[in-house]
Amino acid sequence: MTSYLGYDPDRLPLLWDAMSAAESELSNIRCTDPDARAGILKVSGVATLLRARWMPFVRSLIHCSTLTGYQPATIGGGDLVNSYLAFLIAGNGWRTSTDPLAPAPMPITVDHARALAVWLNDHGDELDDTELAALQLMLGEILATPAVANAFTTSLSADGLSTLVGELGQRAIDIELHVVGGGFADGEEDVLATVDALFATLGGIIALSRDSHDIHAGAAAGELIEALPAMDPYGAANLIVSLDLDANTLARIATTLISIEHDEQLDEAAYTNGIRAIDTLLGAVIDTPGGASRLLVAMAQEPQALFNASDPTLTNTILLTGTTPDALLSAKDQALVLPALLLAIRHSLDDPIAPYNDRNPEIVSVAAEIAAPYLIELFLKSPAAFAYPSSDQTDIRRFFIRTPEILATLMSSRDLLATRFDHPLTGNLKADEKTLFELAQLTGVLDRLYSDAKIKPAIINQAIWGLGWTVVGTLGRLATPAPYKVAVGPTTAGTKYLLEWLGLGPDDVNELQAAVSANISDRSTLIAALVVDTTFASLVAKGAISQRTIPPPPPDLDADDLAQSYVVALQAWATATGLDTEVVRQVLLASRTLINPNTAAFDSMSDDEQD
Amino acid sequence: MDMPESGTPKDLRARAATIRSVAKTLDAAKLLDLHRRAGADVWLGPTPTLCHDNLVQMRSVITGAVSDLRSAARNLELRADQLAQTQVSVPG
Repeated sequence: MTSYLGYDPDRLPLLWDAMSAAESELSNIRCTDPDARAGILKVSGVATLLRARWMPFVRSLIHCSTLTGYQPATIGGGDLVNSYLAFLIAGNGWRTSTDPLAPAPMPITVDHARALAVWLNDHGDELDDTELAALQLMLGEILATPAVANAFTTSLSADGLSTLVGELGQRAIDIELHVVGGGFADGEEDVLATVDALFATLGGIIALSRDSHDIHAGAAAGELIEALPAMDPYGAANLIVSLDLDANTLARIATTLISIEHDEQLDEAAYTNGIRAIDTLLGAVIDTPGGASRLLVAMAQEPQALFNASDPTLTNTILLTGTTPDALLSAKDQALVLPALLLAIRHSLDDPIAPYNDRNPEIVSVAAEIAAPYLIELFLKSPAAFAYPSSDQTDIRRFFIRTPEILATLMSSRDLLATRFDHPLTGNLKADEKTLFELAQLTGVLDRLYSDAKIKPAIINQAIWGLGWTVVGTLGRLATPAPYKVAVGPTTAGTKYLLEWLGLGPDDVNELQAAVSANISDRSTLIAALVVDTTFASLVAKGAISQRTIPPPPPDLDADDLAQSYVVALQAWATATGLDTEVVRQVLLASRTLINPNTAAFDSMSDDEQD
Repeated sequence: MDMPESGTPKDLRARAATIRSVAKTLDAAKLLDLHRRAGADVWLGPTPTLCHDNLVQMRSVITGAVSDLRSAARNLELRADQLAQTQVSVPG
């Protein structure tokens, strides 16, 4: 690296004049007093240094005399380190000479930072390895001072950033391809580390300006960030990691970059070897609170692009964390995302050459898990159902029915299914009505899916019975039974009563289950009985009903029509106990809402949507 | 400025005054501001940086010299005071 010195030819003579005057003044100071000798010697030394060292040097520059090592010179346009000097020479008419001294560390000022940014605007793709390292040092210093960082950001153009980001991204890709091909070449490991550091520092500077109180710098940073979608995806992705973007902005920009990368595959070798922007972007999204759900909403029109990640665990994490009811807050977003995702997963498995589950075997169970909390909205024509084409609904149903892994996952995902029931029974009529209604609907959907899949009734029984216990347990703030009989012991007095009435002990849940017929209505009636029982226990606990009150009757398993007989028995029980009308209404509601809508749920899955 | 040869209190005070005068001159020396004229608005580069740093060092050397001179003057004045006190307490 060549050192240069530059000077203002108009001001340098003024410096020489000042040096001369200072030297003259010091040289004229005399004092022979021995007590003043120490001080006078210092003065004399300074005068000598000026006279012998610096004045001749300045004079030689003024007269353009050639000194050893100092030759008139021109700075090349591509010289990063001397970019500020080049700027002064071009803009202010300075002159240049070589300077044999090594560059001294010089604090980077606002002017330096501006000049560097302007230089980068034109030369961001001309950096050699040494200049990359020098740039990193300079940017590191710029990052340390907010005012200097703002000066840099306001002078860096979107095109300049794009060029630099593209260059850095390509450097990284080239080196990573070498690594894939066998390992680092000489010095490449250091260059890659420098490139990584440059992305981080550059991102840090832009983020610092965006968050500063300087309106101009904030606006400039905003423009740079908004220009990211038009940049090279790999470089932009690496810059984004350090920008600390909010979830919405990140999702919007990432969506565009992922799409461009997939559609254009600008660097085919990199893409083929799994060096892809999408992996970096998904990592950034996962690290951003709320990022996964925002990305899924933003990509709802093209969710299949998510499957391009080289590391499928990143895709799975996005799908699982971004679709929970807590993450997708609005019903509109849920309706937008869930059907689109499930259809995309289904179609990805249909690829005759490279079905996606070959690369990502977990994707099928992921599909089941993301669908589990939304089965009612996906498959029923209820007011809360997702508004999407019935042909798509049929597609998803067929996908579920024909994919044993999905049904198996749903059967074993009772906790997931129960996540929609996040409120315990309150005794409040309106709140409980919705919960019980949904439980009935969910039971119906599962029953139908399992039946259509020709799963043996005994297995369906087990799954739905398990769900019933889980949900009732959830609603009553009971421990989730696993296995069921473990949790039955400490359950409510009402549930115990139900078991005892049937002649079964707390450990005999399996026996109880075996006693239930394959009849759909019977299963839902028994679940209704559990809910009624829990409601009753809850009312007793709250003091709304005396502890001495006779509990509700259990279903008569020998009855021809279990549901009908249960409702009649409940009404008789209500009359006999003489309970408060409102209490009775609540208990009866628990049964009717469960039993009746269950049938309605099946009706809503019309024949034309079934196989 | 020649040093008075006699060692009376008056002579010592005269020497101190001379030294203080030199210190005062140095205190306003043009060199003290010279580094400001050699900054990045005039020139840039390793040697200009070295020169600028050198001028800053020279400035501190000169202020050190001023301090040395004032200290020397103070010592002379102290000796003058002590001598005068001795002469008063030992008459004749």
